[in-house]
Amino acid sequence: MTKKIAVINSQSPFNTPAGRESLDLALIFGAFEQQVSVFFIDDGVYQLIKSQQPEQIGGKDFLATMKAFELYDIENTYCCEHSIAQRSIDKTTLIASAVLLTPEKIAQQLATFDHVVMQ
Amino acid sequence: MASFLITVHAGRYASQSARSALLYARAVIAKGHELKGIFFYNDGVSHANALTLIPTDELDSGPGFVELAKTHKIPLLLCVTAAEKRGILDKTQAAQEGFEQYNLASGYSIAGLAEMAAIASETDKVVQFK
Repeated sequence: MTKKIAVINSQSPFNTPAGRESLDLALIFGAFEQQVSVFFIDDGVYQLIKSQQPEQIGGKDFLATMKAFELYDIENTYCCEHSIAQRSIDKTTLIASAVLLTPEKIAQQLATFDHVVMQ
Repeated sequence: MASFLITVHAGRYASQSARSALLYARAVIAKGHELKGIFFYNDGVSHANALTLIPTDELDSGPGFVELAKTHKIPLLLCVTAAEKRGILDKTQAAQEGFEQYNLASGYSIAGLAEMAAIASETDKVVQFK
């Protein structure tokens, strides 16, 4: 059965494995041909900044795996506009596939999903 | 009647969230719904560490899950990757990796995200506790 599944990321990328494990979740649902969308809110928006260099702090660049979203039929990557503004993040530094949405729009979107998982 | 999958992302020790997952699981069953399984991910895999000693006057959601699973035949599934990274291994894995010890508590099964995704795709409600 195909379900609409939302995976929400709310944590910064390199402090804990949350982002990495969340990505695994999104990819596995994609591999099972579920309709997956990935949301980035709060500190999770830091995961969408291009060209990060985690090697400098002994981290691995798991963010590069997001390039595989298309391959896994992960349809949408949504980013919270409000979280971006709050953190003074320059929109041009975000990866191109990220679609900016207001918190209201995100709430409306989430209401259409069968399952929502959050990291 | 609806079908449920519960996922536990919070650690075993002193986590009210994991405790809430247990209470929720009991409620799902008590209301006559189908609980297809409980899946442990992230730090939630610590529930399956048999080498855990928590004083009885402190919060420990571990024994409750095992009892519930036994009574109602609910699978307690662990993400193998999350578990390995956090030092939870069954006998076979430990032997494969050359460890002398293993610590998977009885009542839990090593599974993977794929199993979780397969169950989720056939389940009405996935409820996450983090």
